[in-house]
Order: sequence, then structure tokens, then C-alpha cells
Amino acid sequence: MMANTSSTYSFKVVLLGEGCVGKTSVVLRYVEDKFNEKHITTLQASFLNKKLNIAGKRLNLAIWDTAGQERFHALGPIYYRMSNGAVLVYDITDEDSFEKVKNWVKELRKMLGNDICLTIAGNKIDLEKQRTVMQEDAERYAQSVGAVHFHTSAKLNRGIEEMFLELSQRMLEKAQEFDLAKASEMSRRGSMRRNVVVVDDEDLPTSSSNSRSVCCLSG
Amino acid sequence: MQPWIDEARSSTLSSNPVPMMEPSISKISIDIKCKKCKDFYGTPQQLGFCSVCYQNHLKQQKHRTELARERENTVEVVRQSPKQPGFSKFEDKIKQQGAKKLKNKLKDLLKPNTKESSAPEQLLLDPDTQAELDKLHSELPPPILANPALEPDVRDVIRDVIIRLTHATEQEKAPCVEDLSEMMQNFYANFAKRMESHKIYEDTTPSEREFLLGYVEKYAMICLYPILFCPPFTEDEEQDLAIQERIRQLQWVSAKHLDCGIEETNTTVLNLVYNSMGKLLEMDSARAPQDKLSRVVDCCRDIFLFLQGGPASADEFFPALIFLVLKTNLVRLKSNIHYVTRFCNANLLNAGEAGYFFTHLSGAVRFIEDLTAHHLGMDPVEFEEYMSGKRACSSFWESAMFVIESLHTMDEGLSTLSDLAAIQSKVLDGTIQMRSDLDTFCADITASIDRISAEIPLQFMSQEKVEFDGHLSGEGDWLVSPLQPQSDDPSTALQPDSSTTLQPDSSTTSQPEGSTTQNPPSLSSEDIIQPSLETTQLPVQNLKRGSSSAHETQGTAQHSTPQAGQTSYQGFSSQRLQIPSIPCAMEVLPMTSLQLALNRAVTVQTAKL
Ligand SMILES: Nc1nc2c(ncn2[C@@H]2O[C@H](COP(=O)(O)OP(=O)(O)O)[C@@H](O)[C@H]2O)c(=O)[nH]1
Ligand SMILES: [Mg+2]
Repeated sequence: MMANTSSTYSFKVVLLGEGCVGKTSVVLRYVEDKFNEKHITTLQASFLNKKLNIAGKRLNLAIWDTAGQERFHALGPIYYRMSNGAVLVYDITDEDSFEKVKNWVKELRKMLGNDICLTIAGNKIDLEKQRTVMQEDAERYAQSVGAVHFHTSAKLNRGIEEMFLELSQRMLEKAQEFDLAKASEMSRRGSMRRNVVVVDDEDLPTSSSNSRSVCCLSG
Repeated sequence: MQPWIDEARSSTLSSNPVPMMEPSISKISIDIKCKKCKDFYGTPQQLGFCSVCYQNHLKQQKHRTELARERENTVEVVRQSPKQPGFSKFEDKIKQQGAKKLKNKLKDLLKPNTKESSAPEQLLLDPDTQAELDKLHSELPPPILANPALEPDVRDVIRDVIIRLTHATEQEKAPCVEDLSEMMQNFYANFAKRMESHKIYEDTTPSEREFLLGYVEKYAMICLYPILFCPPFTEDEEQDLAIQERIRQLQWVSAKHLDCGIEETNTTVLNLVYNSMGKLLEMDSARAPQDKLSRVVDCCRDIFLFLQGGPASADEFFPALIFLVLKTNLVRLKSNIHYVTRFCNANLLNAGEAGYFFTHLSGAVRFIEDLTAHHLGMDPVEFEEYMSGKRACSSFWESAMFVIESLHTMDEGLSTLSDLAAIQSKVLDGTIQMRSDLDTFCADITASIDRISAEIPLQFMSQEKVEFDGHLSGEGDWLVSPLQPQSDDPSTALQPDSSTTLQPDSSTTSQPEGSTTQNPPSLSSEDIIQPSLETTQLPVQNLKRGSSSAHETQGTAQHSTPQAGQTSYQGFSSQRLQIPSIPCAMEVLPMTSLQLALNRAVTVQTAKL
């Protein structure tokens, strides 16, 4: 979601992935810089905001944690609609979780096309010894679907900051491209509510002088 | 002060007297039975009709409006069509929008809703909506209200969108609700753009613009609520009934089934769950999409309070929300969700915490609709048995909620009781105060009478009957007047003879009831309880005394009563003995009966004169 008020960009980022791969841990590390701590100030780690500056532009990331249980998988479209980015997390020690990521990628590309920026995170790299998902495989796959791959560890705080920064940059580029396209085109693609503030001036009274001409508005 | 009010009233009167009949209906519409059939319950949202009558009413109104629109005077007709109360009211406002009147109006709207300012609007708008709009208006930040150019423009913008949406719903062919939603969303976007570009708004700060955008949305949607919430041209109502039935069937689903970390046996948790459910229930009563959205946010925030063990992620939150939706079974659930989805500013709805929570609410509803045995990890046969009611659900939850509910009721009862106790102690204090006042009063009077009768012996010649209304408030008005001055027989004046002076002259007395004058009154308990004082009749004696000092003394005489201590007179003190016997715990009685007793005493004493 991008509301371009006073040059602050707002982006929605969804976290997708199987349960227990570390989605919540990754986002808590990013926003609160904490891992598995008893005294965490936030009551919830479901919806978190993160503000950042990129090249003088103010950004606000709204990070949506999603329920990872299999029974909720079918509800995915409700959550990822209108998102600018997705972080697809898998556990490097769990091959299944990587397969899940592949499914998500397919689904997202099918539903949202290239409107969404994808990042794949291979989490728990501190457990390198137990790794079952091959590094090269994962990176090659990511490249093939237009996603960027990161190796992360919420436990050791590895790769997380970089991952969100890189994703934000891509989302910002996309938004600016879109702004340019909009400016040059000034199209009336009103049906695309997503990301767009479409304006057709004739829908509003042009001045307060016509306030009395109620009757001519009938029909 | 409010010239526009009179104008509104007179224009309503002159154009068509019919709307003047409306207020009586709208004022008594607190009646919960349907205004028309009186068989079913009506709701304020449906203008006091039950759903069947409301549909008929809408049809009728539509027909009427269509006929009327063919006539020349479209403005007048639209304004008086009671179908969209908000709209009509709004038209009223527009009509009175002369530039110089506007300032007055703004001032009026800034004030808390005074009786006068709301009067003409009540003619056309149900009071709840009116109150909500007034409140909304009063919340506008002062800088916005101070800018004279802003208000008319904002009103134009709102009026314009209301008219467009209203007309769109009145088309011959059934309107498409998606188109209406689109219109509204474009309107929000356009208004945002207008504030960015139009010079009227150039002085506004970004936060004021944001506020205005919210204001415009709420104002327009509160007015449009009756036609856009669960509109007849959608299937919202059917869906509401379907999901309600579905949720009813699913009442056996427990927190365990959903794997959510709600400790069903923990009272603190149960209380928090109960509060959270209350917030969700409030969603239905809010009218503006934004307000409905806020209720959802409140509810969801509460959920995190009862999810234990560290910051809850979506894995814990979402099942808990599903559980809450199941147990709350909110009325018109689908209508509420559709309404917010369609008409809440999409920018708000899809961003931020509110967007997150609302999306999850929609997800929870979807999950409930699609729920199968597989989702709960259950045997399909078992699932079916539960669904069909073959297998009884021994839900701990039901009884737990029942207990919580009872506890809350008990809490309420207790607080009512403590309120009552406070009132009672106030009454007691009042009674004690009254008693001491009475004592002082008696002492004063006794002293005065002593003094006066020592100075001037009194003699009674005749007696009259007068009406006595026993007010204690005025200084002397509870004493009967006129007290006739004593005849100026110097011998009587100089030779006071108490026994003869105070003896009523029975030969000249015409006694009505005969009880009060001759014998000291016996105050039975019945007498005390009898509250009516108006009919108490008093015999009054003419007093004779020296005419020279008549006028000065009369004043004193009026304030004083004959002295106690005469042999034939039992006196205040003996009567007062009966007063404290009145139980003080009774709230009203002590005051009345004390008053009565006092009046009786006065009666007696006056009679003794
Ligand atoms: N060793 C290790 N454990 C992790 C890491 N990230 C998460 N975990 C653990 O994995 C489990 C699941 O994490 P969680 O954030 O709840 O995963 P989610 O279900 O995807 O949200 C927890 O026990 C975490 O402590 C990591 O980077 N390294
Ligand atoms: Mg999680």
C-alpha cells in the first residue's frame, strides 16, 4: 500500500512460510532487535511498523505476520492482496519448508504478477551443520522466479537488516516507476484501486458557487 | 442568534405542512415495537420499523420520490423526502447556507447541541443520527472551523456525494453495490486530491487534511448508512442469516479444537475474553465505516491481553480471533464486513494496524464459512455428528461464559446497591438536618410566642375556615393570614388573662371538621403517611388587639405561633415525639411526614390562637 502523503511511502510486507521456520523471530529481531527474550515490550508480534530512510525518502514498512498453520493456507489471498512485498521464510534444516516457499511463490506470481517484490529467506543459518536445503539450489531457484535470496539467522542477527533494506529499495523503485508512469499517462484506470490515487476532477463541484443547483444533479 | 432556524421552520410550513407531522412520530419512536405492525421489533436503523415494514416503507418512499421528482420543485421534494433522513437534514443545512448566516451556524454547531439548534433538524432526522453528526461536527479542530471558506466547500463536497449516491440507489434497475463502492472510493481519492490542489485548502496542515478526509467520510456515511448498510439490492441479509446459523451450529468448537492458547479455566482470561467480545459486539452499532473499524481494532487489541506467553504472533492471534468470532456470533456479521470493505476509505482499510486486524476478521469469517473436519483435524463422521446435533457438546465454555456473565451482572447489581446506599445516607442526613432545623424552629417559635403573649394578651373572637397549602419554603406563607388585629380595648390589652385569651370562643366558632381546634390532634400513623396537604383546612381566629400598634405587631404575629405551655395545649414537644418514630430508611416518607407533622402542629397552634 502506498499513500504518498507528504512524501512518506507506506509499504505493506507480508511474511509467509510454514510454522516454526522463524517468521516471528525474524521480524522481532528486525523491529525490536530481540530474540526469544522474556522481556519483550511489545504485546504482540503480529503487526509491526518499521520506519526507515532511503536516499532522503521516508518509508514506513507495515510488516504483517501471518498464521503459518496449514489449515489457514487457503486464506493466503486475503492477506497478501495489496501487498508491495513478501518475505518467504524457510528453515534451512527443513526441506519441506522450502517446498512450501516454492508453492507460495507460484501462488503470488499467479495472483499478483510482478506487482509484488519477493524475497526468500533461508533462516536459522546458525544451524548450518543440520542444513538440508542446498544453498546453491535455493539461490538458483530464487533467481529463476525473480526473487532475491538471503541467508538469515534471527538468533545471531544475521542478514535480517540487509534483507529488509534491499526489499525496501526494490519496493521504492517500483513505486517511483509507478509514479512516473502515472504522471506521464494520467490515465483513468480507476478500477485499479491498488497503489493508486486516481483523480477525476469532474466528480467534484469545481467551486462552491454551484452549491444551490441541486436539481440539475438528478439522474 | 439563529435566524436560519426560523427560516427553516417557516419554509417547511409554507411549502408543505406534512413534514410538520413527522416530529411527533420521530419523538415517540423510542417505542421498540415496529411503528407500523406493532408485532415485531423495530430498530432505529430502520426508522423504527421491523424489517418487513421497513422494506415496504422504502418502496413507498421510493415511489413517492419518483413521482415527486417529476414535479418542478425538485429541491423541495428531495429535502422533505423522509427516506434518507440524513440527506434531508443535510439539504436543510445547505439551504440555510447564506454566507453571513454561516458564521452563526458554525457557532451554534460548536456549542453543545442546544435545544433550539436541534429542534428544526429533529423534524427530519432521527435523533441518534443527529446527535452523532453533531458530535462529529463538534470534534472538528478549531483552525478548520475558523476558516470561513473551508466549511462551505466541505459541505458542498459532502452534499454532492450524498446526492450522487442517493440517486444511484434510486435508479430503475437494481444498483450494483460495487459501483457504489467505487463511487465512494473515488470520492475519497478526489477529495484528498482536492485538498492538495485547491487554494481553499492551501492553509491547512497535512494532519488537518487527514482529519477532514476522515470527517467527510464519516459525515457522508452516517447520512448514507440507512441506504448503504445491508442494502436490499444485495444478498447481505441472506448471508448474515447463513453465517449466523452456521456459527450457531459450530458452538461446540472449543479453544482446543482451534489450538488457541486461551486458558478457558482462568477467570482473568475469561473476563478479558468477555470484554473483547463486548468490543466486537459494538461494531454493529457504529454507523461510520471508520467507527466500525475502530471497534474491530479495540477488540483485537484486547485479544493480545489474554494471549499469554510472550508477544503473540499471528499463529496465536488468528485462532483466538476465530474463536472469539464464533463465540460472539455478531448480528449482521457479513453486512458489517461488507459495509466496511465497500465504503471505508481503502487507504485506511489496507494500511496500518486497522487494516491488519480487519483483514484477519474477514479471514476468520471465511475460515468459519469453509470450516471442515479436516481443518480441525477431526474425524469427518464425528464432525458431522456435532454439526447435526447428534453428538451433544459438553461445552465448558458455555457455562464459563454464563458464569462470567452472571459475575458481571452481579457487579452491576453491587454497584447499583452502593449507589442506593449513598442516596440513602444522603436522605438520612437530610432527615437529621430537618429534625434539628425543626427543633431550632420550635424553640424559636416558643420563645417568640412567650415573648409576645407576655407583651400582648391575645383574644379570639371568631373563626374562619381557609385553605391551607402547607409550604414550608416561604418565610411566613405557611401561616394563615390575615391575622386580625386585636380590638383596641385598652382594658384587655392591659390586663392579660392567659386562660381567657387563648381559649377559643366556641360560641362564634363554626368548625368544619371539629377535630383540630377543640382537641389536640392525635397523629395516627395513617395521618402521617397521608401525603396530601392541599386539603388541610384551618380554622382561623380573628385576633383582637390595639389598633395603634396593629401593623407593627402583625408582622411579628405572622411569624410566630402561640406559645406552648398552656394547660389546654399539649405543645410541640409531645407531638414531636411521634415524628422520630417514622422509619428513616424510607426514602421519601420522612420528609413528607415531617412536613405534614409540622403543618399539623402549626394548624393546631393557629387554632389555639
Ligand atoms: N537456532 C535458531 N532458531 C530459530 C531461529 N529463528 C527462530 N528460531 C526458533 O524457531 C522456533 C520457531 O520460531 P517462530 O519465530 O515462532 O517461527 P514462526 O512460526 O515461523 O513464526 C522458535 O523456537 C525459535 O526460537 C534462528 O535463526 N536460529
Ligand atoms: Mg509466528
